[in-house]
Amino acid sequence: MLIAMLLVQATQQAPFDTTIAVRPETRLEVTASAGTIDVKVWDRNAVRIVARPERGAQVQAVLDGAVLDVRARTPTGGIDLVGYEITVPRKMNLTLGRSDVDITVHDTEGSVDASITSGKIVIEGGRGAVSLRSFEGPIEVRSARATVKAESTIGRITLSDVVGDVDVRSNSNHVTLENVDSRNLRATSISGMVRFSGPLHPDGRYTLTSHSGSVFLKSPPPINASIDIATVGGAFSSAILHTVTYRTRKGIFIARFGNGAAQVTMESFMGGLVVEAIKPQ
Amino acid sequence: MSDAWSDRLSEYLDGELPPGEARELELHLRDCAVCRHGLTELKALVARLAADPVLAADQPTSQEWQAIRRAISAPRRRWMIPSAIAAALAGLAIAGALLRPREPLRVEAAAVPAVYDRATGELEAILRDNKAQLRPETVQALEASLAAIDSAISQAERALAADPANDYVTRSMGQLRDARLTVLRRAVAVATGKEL
Repeated sequence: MLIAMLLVQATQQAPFDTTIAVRPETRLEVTASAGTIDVKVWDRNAVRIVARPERGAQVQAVLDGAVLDVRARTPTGGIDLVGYEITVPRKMNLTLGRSDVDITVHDTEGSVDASITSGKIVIEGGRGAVSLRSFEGPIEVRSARATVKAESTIGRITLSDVVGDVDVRSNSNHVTLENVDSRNLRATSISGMVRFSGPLHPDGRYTLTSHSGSVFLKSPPPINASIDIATVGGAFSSAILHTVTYRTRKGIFIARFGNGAAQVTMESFMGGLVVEAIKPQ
Repeated sequence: MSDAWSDRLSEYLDGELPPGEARELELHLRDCAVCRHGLTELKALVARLAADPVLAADQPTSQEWQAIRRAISAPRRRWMIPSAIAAALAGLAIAGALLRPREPLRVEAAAVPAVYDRATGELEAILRDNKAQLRPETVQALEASLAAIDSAISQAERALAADPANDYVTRSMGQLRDARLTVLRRAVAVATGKEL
């Protein structure tokens, strides 16, 4: 196996700057304990890494087969604090993380797999598949055509102007999906609110659930959906004309809007369940 | 209310009954509402667990499926508490993953909460030992998150006691237990420096 290895010992404060030629299938993996990872794209088969290490961290970039591995080590084995600015081929697949890191990815068309404990993850633009995890940091995806899978234990999840399948979950924070155009969408929280606004496609399936938080659905009129409602201590509300078919017990029923084409599930054990029409601009 | 067929429903569902016995059971199902209900519940439970994205990545082994089904289709008391069993089962796959490597799983109605309690107890103990590795604000947020889930579980327990056959409450209970295990597992991963 051909192994090319670059090891640059960066002195404190001195930037690390290198450009490495890669193949189209090469994956970039960046691992950091703390700091920032900012990824942009260009139309070259090469990766440029500019890193600003602190506390004596040594940055290394190792190209091993199909993986370009970037990480830093400290002489004492402590936390490596590095600010990375990385430019990658537009379709490069990325694995980024993993501790107290702010990750920002702009306009990539490969897959993005990012995981942090704290800090934040922002995906801006681009297309592809993104899989994002955080323990307590917020996750944001903006203006992307992507399949989005995101999970945060404590942090908030926000998607805006996204087109594609969505599967997002925050255990104890809010999930906000603003202007999301999807045919397969699931958004879940335990104690946070779940808000979705976007079109309901006739062949679409949408699941919006919380336990303690309220669930809001806003869609452009006319709304054509069969909405499976379930609640115990909450209440359903909509000012839009609809019919209700009760199932087995109070709090569990189907609300039918228009021709009932889109299949929607809205559940909140204790919160409100609200369906609204988006007012024309 | 028990009959000779009630313990064979799981085998029937698995296609393991000899053809002759399967036909006999099908005839029996025409007349026995209890067994029909039991079969419906078994099918629904299997579908729910299989469709749960949290569990999809860590499905029970085929041996565990057998144990789960047998636990539900075992003696008559299941019809009194099928919802409670089903609620606990949703947390079972994750509990099993936490405890790997594991012994062959015996799933009895009374044992399911015990498995869940054991899993959460172990995680909580690890977390207590490693709490100093987390930032104070993280600990605060984590405790708030767990308190919210515990409150939700209490609500679901009360609702289930009032309405034991409510599928939505049953499912919620399972999801909440899953969520609690997930939060604990993630917190332990962070505190011990492992990947999420």
